[in-house]
Amino acid sequence: MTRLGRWGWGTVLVTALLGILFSLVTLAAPPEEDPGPLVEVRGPAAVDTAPTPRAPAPPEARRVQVGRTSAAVPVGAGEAPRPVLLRAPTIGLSAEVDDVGVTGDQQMQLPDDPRRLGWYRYGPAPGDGRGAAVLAGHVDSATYGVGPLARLAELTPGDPVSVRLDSGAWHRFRVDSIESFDRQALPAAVFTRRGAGRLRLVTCTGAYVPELGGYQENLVVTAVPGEG
Amino acid sequence: MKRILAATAAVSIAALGIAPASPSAAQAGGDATVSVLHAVPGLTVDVYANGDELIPDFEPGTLTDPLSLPAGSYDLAVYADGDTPDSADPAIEANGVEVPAGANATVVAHLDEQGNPTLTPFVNDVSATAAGQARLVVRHTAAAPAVDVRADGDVLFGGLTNPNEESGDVPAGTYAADVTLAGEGEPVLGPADLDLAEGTATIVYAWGSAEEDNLDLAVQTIDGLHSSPAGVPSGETGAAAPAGGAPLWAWGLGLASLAAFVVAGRRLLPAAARH
Repeated sequence: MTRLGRWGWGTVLVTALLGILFSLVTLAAPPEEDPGPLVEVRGPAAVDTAPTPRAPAPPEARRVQVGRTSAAVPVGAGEAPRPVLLRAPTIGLSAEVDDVGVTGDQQMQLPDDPRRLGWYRYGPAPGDGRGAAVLAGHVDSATYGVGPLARLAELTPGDPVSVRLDSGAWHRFRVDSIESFDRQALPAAVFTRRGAGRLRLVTCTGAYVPELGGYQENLVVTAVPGEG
Repeated sequence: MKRILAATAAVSIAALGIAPASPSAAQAGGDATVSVLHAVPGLTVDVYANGDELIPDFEPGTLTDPLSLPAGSYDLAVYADGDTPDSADPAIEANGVEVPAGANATVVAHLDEQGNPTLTPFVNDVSATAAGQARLVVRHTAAAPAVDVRADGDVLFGGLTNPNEESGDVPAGTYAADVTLAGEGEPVLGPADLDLAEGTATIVYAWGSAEEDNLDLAVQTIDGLHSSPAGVPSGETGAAAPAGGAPLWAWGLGLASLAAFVVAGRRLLPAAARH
């Protein structure tokens, strides 16, 4: 009736018992290496506290001499500097940077490879001295696995971050703020083109809920010009 | 300059109509933003508003900075350089131009289709552009018949006539733009490389006179209309998510083991009873 003998079924029984025990131990164990909730730090350059001056410059008074310019078709202004490499040594991050824009549904485009960062080319570039230069990347990908941005949350205020432009010039920043936002409600101020020049690194964080579009939060690290 | 006859432009008050919402330049209450473009070839002029000289020595092909003017009704008059309201009739005049609070407008001194100087106020659409988009506005202010405006060889706006405009939001980038007489293939203007910057309205004016062979393009830009991207979708698999509860495989192993345990137990128990 059975091809397994008594000893065979005995082995199955013992193996199953071991399996039950092992699974019970695993289920009962506390989650390993849970980093715990993200510790948010908001410095003067944080998204949440950053003033978002939407107001225009005060209306100019009537001037006697009205300024004027030629309305001729402007000649191409030439290429503006672009960031090509980002380094954050305290978390072992060194990533090349691509120019990116937006996808059809107005989301920021990102390189497929989580080892690369995308620079939002319509906004300021690092070192522009005005507004937030935004560099973002995938935290993980189906093709490449978990990328180095998974460690972005380990940055702490004061950590150095530097960016190399295609001109070869380096711009140095130090971390000012670490914040997380609901991914469906990322404040537009993250991308502000006004105010003091600063650098913003963005990736995904928080719980992963596939039915709700994956990661539930964006991690936003803001760094201000200066040595770390 | 016999063309510059004293022409009274019938400026449509309604043309300044409802002030569009302005994200970049929410005007301090009661003010309007007005730029003035001089697009009448060959004549330096002085522009007067309500009898006061507003823009002296204004040369063709130049554009003023945006002026912040109190909202209200303006009598605009354009005099040939050197003439004054006391010494001569204006070359162009437009009375009762309503400038509503909050409006962003460009007043253009230009030739109508027949070549007579006129003033046309255009309302500038300064509503926000979507992330990645640029706004292109084309205005026909030349003494020329209907034209087609082409971008990279394709007709973008067809059959545009003086003094009308067409506009659309397009992906930001550089386009080779030219202007042909409507339905024809040979450009009468351009091609010119137009850099349509993201979050910026680029307003292109065709001006001059086809008959006088001095058609030209003028460009005005209004920046600060950009929007931020809707989001940053920066994860795919969840592998970098913090461990949330027990892994699924542990449940699987437990259930499979339990099933195997039950099956093996049933096989063994009757066997033991038989002996």
